This record gives sequence, C-alpha cells and structure tokens, in this order.
Amino acid sequence: MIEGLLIGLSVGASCLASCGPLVISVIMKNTPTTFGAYAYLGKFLSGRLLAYIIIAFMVSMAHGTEWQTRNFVGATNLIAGLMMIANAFIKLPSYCVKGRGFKSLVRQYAPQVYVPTLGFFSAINACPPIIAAATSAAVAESAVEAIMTFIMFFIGSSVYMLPLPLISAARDKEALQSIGKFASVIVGIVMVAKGLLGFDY
Amino acid sequence: MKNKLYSTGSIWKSILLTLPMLFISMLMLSRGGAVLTSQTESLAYLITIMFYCSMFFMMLYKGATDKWRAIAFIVSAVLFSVSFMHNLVDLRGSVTYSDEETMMCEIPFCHIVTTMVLIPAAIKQTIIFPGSIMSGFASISSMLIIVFGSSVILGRGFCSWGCFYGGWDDGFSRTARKPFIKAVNSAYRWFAFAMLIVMALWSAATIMPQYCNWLCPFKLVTERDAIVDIESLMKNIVMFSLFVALVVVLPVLTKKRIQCATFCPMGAFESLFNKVSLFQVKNNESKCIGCGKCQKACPLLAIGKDNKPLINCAKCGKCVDECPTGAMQFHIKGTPVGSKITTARLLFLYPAYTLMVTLIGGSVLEAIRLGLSLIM
Amino acid sequence: MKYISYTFASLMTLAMMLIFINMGCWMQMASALPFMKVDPWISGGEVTDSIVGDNYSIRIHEAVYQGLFVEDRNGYIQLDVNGCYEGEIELGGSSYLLIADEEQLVLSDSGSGAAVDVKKCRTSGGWVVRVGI
Repeated sequence: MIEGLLIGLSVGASCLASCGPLVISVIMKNTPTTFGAYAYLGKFLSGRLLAYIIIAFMVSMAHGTEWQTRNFVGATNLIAGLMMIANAFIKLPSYCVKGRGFKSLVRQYAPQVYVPTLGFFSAINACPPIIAAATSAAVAESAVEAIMTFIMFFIGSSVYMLPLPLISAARDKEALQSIGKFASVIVGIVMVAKGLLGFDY
Repeated sequence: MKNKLYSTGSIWKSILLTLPMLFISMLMLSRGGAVLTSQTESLAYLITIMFYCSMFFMMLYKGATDKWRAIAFIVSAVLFSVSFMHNLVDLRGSVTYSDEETMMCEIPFCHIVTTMVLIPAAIKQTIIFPGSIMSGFASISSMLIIVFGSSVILGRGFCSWGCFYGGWDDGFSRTARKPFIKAVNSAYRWFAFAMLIVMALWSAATIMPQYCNWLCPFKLVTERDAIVDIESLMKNIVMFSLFVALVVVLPVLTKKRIQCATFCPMGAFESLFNKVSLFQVKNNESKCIGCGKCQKACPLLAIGKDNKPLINCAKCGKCVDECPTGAMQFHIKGTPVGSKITTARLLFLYPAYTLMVTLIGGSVLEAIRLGLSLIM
Repeated sequence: MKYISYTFASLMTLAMMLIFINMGCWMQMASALPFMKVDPWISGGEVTDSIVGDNYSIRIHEAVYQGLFVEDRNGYIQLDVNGCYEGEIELGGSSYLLIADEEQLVLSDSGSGAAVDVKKCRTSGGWVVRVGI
C-alpha cells in the first residue's frame, strides 16, 4: 500500500501532464467560483477513483490479452474524447432544477454525472503511471490489497492536481472560458484520434 | 495625416537615423569578413544590406511602420525557406527527414519547440528534441538563447519582427484588397493559448514535441517527415491541410494572420513576455474617439472591445498606422503616455529591426547569393 | 523613473546585438545548465558496453524507456555497429544473433531464429540500431 502511495507521488507529475488538460478545460470552460472549481475537481477525481478500483480488481483477478486491453483502452479514449468535445458546447447547469420529466431529470443530475463519467473514462488509460501501479497491484495477495494499492496510488497522484482549480481565480473570466472551451476541443480531438487510430501517444 | 505624426519629414534626417541600422546590418551580416570572399558573396551582402536599410529608411521617412515592416518580413520569410530547403537538399538530398536524422539528433531546433520542451526540461532535466545541443545550424542552446533573449526585450514583438514563418501568414493576409469574411470572432485569439496548454502538457506526457510531430503547418516550407508508412502519410496530410487552411485560405479570406493569431502555441507563449518587455503599444485615451479602426486593422485579433491592445499584441504597428487621431502609440513602460511618441517608436524600431536583420538576414543573404550564382 | 525607462530602452538595441555577437559565450554557459542534454529516449542513452574485434566494433547503450517520471514498458537498447559482424549478442537479458555488413543488418532471436523488428539507419561508419525491449 505504501508502495502505491510512493508510486503515485513519484509519477503524479505525469498524471498532471496527461489528465491536467481535461481538468483545466472543464474548470475554465464552466468558470465556477474557486469552491465550485474544487467541486468539479472532486467529481472528476471520484470518477477516476472508481475507474482505478475497477482496474485494480481486474488486474488482480484476471489477465486480459493485449489485444483486448488495447481495444478497451482505445474505446475509452474515444468516449472520453467525444465527451471532451461535447464539454466545449454544452453548459453544465450549476443549479438543481426540480421538476418532472426527463429533461428536468437530466438538468438535475447532469452536472453530478457528466464530470465523474469523464474522469472515469479518461482514467482507463495504458499510461506509464497506471502500468506502474498495475505492476505493483498484480503481485498483491488479494483483490482487497490490489484495490488498496490503487487507492493509495490515486491519493499520491491526485495531490498534483490540487492547485489546478486555482486557475478559476483569474480575473478575465471570458478569456478563461474561451481557453477552456478550445482546450476541451483540442484534447477531445487528440483522445478521439488516439482511440480510433490506436497511437501510443 | 496619421503618418505625419511619425514621419521625419526630411530625407536627410531619415538617412541620418538609418545610419545606425546600416552599421548594425553591416556588422551583424558580415560573418566576420567571410562575406567578402567572392564577388557573388559581396554582391549578395550589398543587396541584403541595401534592402533592409531601405525598408528601415522608408519606415522613418514615410512614418508608416507596418507597411515597410511587412515587406521586409514577408521577403525574409520566403527567402529563409528557399535558403533552408536548399541547404537541406545540399546536405541530405531532400527536404524530408527520416529516422536517420532523428536518431542521429540532426534536426535543427525551431523556436516553436520551446513551448514543448520547458516542462520536461523542468521535471526530467532533459530536452525532448532530436537536435544538437551546441553544434550545427540552429542548435538547441543557441535557439533557446535567442528566443528568451529577444522575448525579454521585445515581448511578442518577436512574432512580427523575428519569426521566419510569420511572413507567410502576413503575406497571404495582404493579398486580397478587402476581406471576404469581415467579422472574425475575436474569442478565437484564445485558441492559441489553449493550444499552448494542451501541447505543452501532451508533449511532456509523451516525451515528444507533439505540435511539431503532428500539427506544424510550416513543415511544408522547411522540412517534413519522409512518407514511409501510414502514420507519416497522415502527418503530411495534416500538415499540408493546416498550411492551406490556416496560412493561405483563411488569411486571404479574413485579412488576418490566422495561424499566428489563433493556432501557434509559441505566439501565446511570447504573449506572456509582453508583461516583461519595456515596449508596448498603448491607447492614449485622451485622443481615442472610439472609431474601432484599430480593432478592424489588427491582424492578430489583439485589440479588445475597449480599443486597448491585449496581452497578445505583437507590436506590428498596423493599429498605430491606421489610427486616425494618433491615439494608438508605441510606448515605453514607465514613461508618460502621449509624450515623446516618436522617440518611443524609434527606440522600439532599432532593437526590433536588429532582430529581423540578424536572425533572418543571414538566410536572406544566402538565398540572394544562390540566386546570383545562378545568374552569374 | 521616465529617464531610467528611456535609458533602458536605449540599451535594448545593444542588448539585442550582444545576444548574437556573444553567442559562443552564452552557449557555453547554457550548455552547463543541468537540463541541457537531449533526452535519452531520443538520443539513445549512454554507452555502457562495447564489443571490439579486428574489423568491427559494437557499442551498446543503456536501456532507455519512455515516460515523464516512471519507466513505461516501452523501451529500447541502441547499438552502434561499425564494420562486419556475425555472432551472438546479449541484450536486456535475451540472446540475439546479429549479422551486419555494409549491405544489411539482420537481428534474429537466438532460440527461435525469428527476425526481430528493429529500427535502424545507415550511417557513415556503419549502422545505428534500436532493439525494442
């Protein structure tokens, strides 16, 4: 478990480089208050944590073929990429709308679901930090130990993301929103390309 | 009327003020006397100096900054490409690079790569570029020194006075008499900043300068991947499409420098140096009548709705030339706004033009020499 | 304040010239900075071993891996092969058969005999090969 934490702390910068653009884009585009920005980060990380728990369970219980892993990662990249592109154009409601019907249900729960889902799909990635954590989890004696390794890895790597919401304190909200929107599109295109073409970049 | 603000009004005064630039050009292009080894070299040297000094003279005599800067800038960009590609053909037999050049670290370091190497340099203490640190053309250390040194002095003025790619964009943006697309959403100026963030982080994550790898349109006029597989074919298609779209078509349609204004991550990075640079373009509010001509004229979408230059101003001088009341002025930080505007402009022009002559002038001289050697 | 500003602005032209005139000196200073080295993933890494014979020499570089912080499973070992060589070679714990001459370079697995897909390029002295591990 300590090993998981240490791996997370040592590779957190790499996680920041890989996943930082997604978090920054979401935060900048929706221009919340600093508290709201941390709420977005929290939702993103919760999706990421769920993904890590599932990966840990899978690593400890079964070993997929490389082909299956590659296609699975490609699919999640594609989904995350499309979600990022969509993030540039949809506005996440910052309030709960009570009412009946599907539309009000979507508006009520969309912010709670969208960002964690994005965090979930973006976390399923064959990036070096995940490989390192998976290697450590693979030798765990039980599924519980593997999951705890990944949770500690999650904590270690998430530390680097804590300063990101501070970007919402910038004065020019309009510029921030535009940059966030454009960054969402760019990151989305990159992830869709990775998912479709299977590049290792 | 507007240009009379900056015009010296006298040929002799303009010649006198051009003399320092003449000496600077002679010194910086002399290559320690190597240019005088042959008749062709000497003639090319003379032509290059006369060209640059005459453009500088016109800037002073006519009082218009942007028009004469643009001529020098565009010619420099085109001749740089000619010289660069010729050298590659001489050296390698082609303008493409293959695995060999990459594995042997023989790729010249382009200034745009700077944005992508900073994070790995800070974290991993290495430069993620297949170039030479010290030796050869455009070595890593020399280009980084030039980029940071000139950016501290000029801020984003580098994009209008030093970048040997910007002239392509600038040139195509001037081909049409009137824009076909009149209203360009000024929010697109922030796209370059988004590119900077994403490219810097993506390159750091993959230990590869990804903008150069996939997106740089200027590979078409310098060097590009040899097409050996599907991936390299796709890279060439992307690069060619981006050049056509962002450097040719959209600048022609909008009369804006679309690539520089909206896509180049280096432009966004250079904008940050505007906070450091002593020189700026400022709106003298006491003279501003709010006509908005500066906004329409600015090729980089760098003027806000309040007619004030934003962080991404590249100090090309177009708004200064277009302003009917002279409200848009070159200004030196720490001095009163509206006073000694001619002096401020002059003090900016000297280092800016020195950068152009020194950084790109050598390649221009080389291209002229090549042309002369064909004739003579 | 304004006099200081004008003074500094006047010196900017000289500063710009000095960047280029004194470039050799600046480059020496820059090369001493800790990050002024090409990433081993790109340059091939340091040479750790060499095999020298009468008409051949093979320099073996350290294994390099891709990754900002931690080593990915993707890695390679670079060989600089000069001259003609035919024989076994140990790389990353595996044994390979290397055949290299002026015309070609072939690396195959010692056990199975299957050719190994490598990234190689011809240089003036011989070959530079990158063997995936």
